[in-house]
Amino acid sequence: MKKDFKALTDVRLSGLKVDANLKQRILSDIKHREEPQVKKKLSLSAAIALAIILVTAAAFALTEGFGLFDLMATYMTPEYATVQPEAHDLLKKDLATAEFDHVTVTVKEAVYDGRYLRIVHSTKDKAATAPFDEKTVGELSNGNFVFEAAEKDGVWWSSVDSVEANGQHLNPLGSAGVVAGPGNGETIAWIQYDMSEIDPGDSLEVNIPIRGRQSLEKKELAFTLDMTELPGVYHVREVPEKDFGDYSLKITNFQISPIRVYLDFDLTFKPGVPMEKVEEIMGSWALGEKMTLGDAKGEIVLKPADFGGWGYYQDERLNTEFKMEEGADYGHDVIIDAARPVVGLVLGEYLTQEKYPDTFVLTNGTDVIEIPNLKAE
Amino acid sequence: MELCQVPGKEKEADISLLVERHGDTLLRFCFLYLNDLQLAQDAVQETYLKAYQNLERFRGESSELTWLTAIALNCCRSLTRSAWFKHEDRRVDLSLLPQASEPFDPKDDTLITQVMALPRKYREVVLLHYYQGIKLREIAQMLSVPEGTLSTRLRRARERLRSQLKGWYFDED
Repeated sequence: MKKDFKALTDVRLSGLKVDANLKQRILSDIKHREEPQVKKKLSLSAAIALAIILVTAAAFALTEGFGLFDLMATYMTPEYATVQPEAHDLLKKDLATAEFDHVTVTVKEAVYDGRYLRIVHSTKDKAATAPFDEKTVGELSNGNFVFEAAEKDGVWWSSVDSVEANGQHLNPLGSAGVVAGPGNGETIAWIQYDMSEIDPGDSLEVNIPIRGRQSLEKKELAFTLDMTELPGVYHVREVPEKDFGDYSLKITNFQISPIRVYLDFDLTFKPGVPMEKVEEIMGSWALGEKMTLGDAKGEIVLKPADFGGWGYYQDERLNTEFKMEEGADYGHDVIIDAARPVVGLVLGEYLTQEKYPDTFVLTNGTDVIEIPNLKAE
Repeated sequence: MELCQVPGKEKEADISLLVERHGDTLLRFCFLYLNDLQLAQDAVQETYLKAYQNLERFRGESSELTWLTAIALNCCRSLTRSAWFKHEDRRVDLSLLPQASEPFDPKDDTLITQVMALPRKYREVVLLHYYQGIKLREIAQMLSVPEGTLSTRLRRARERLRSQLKGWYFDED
């Protein structure tokens, strides 16, 4: 069986390869998480929180729309593009263009919903006389496509690994992808950036380093978004931290937007609670099948969107580490100081709904916290 | 591992080398474990980040691939605990994958999907032993499970596969 299974599996899965995009992401992830200027307070251990998810969009038909909300539908199921009408008021279009020798790059859309900055950019081959054909679309979706005109100009056509907003570096986070566009020789890429630690103020000045690799002259696409009004975006009023014995739960951010509902909370485990118990409880809240956000009767249950994430704080509250086992080349998370609490965090993202309950009920199936749906001051 | 001689860039270059050497195998392993290509890519990305952070501690007592697989296994396990993961449709459909670059027998899908459909404790040991080629002694250390227990799991996994795929792939029959 050994020979057969290994051999036939490698043949059958020979289309699964670490392509240039994924390799770039791996190396970029390493670089960004090591760079001192990337001062994320929350460095999560879970891949799901800090990863870019490249979308395979083979089934994306050219007859579909190419706006951000159309593109979001290509991620897993069309349901992921569920947004409320105000989302279209938040969306800004045709924000910046840059001409290069071989391609034109345009920021087609950008939207900020209080948590993420989402951007769609188009790259068009100036010499192309027709949209990409079916074969190219297929190569694009499986990551084998090389956009020669864009590569000649050295522009980031498939993704942009970092942008600056109001002078601060933003990390990409969540879903992203690239598809063939409707124009001649056009690709359309979308990506989202974590703005959770940046207060945009009244306006957001965004700089996208669309070219900056190797020795080529740097080129940025810049635009400004007005932040004075964000229709449909509000924070839910704070509720007191709740004690459940071995741990307490504190909601740190509960925000409703027309694009997503965001719910973040901390779990603080009392000193002496063993790591096995910590992981069990973290798992039940962050990851458990019985974890729900809805109303008391179970008539309204919000559906998880994207992936959110979870992990342990790595700032001054750091009290866990990945420890290699003695005499082995693998390891596990362990508590550093048993006399101090372990503090974990959960970042939840849910699809929007037309109607929300008067009081939200968040539960892991055992413990419950109620959150009145009142707008924060 | 042979280090690259770029001052200040050794670790990054080493990881790049490890991606070249083992990236495809790890991606396939993670896919077989998670049944989700996007999550498998996430798991591979996180695997290499953890490998980067622990590169100095890799003593070469196991092979590079065994070491990376142990890290990848932890990443996959974390992802499978996700509520979001559990809410997704977990049915196996290999036809949605990028097209294989080598010709294959469509009948082979049956064995792969049956392995992917095994309960996790059986699937883990089958993938680690039969796909990654790791010895049971090393898997036992990796999973903190007695070797005898692993042997039993492997036997039961084979029994399950045998009953479903009788006469197909069991060269010992």
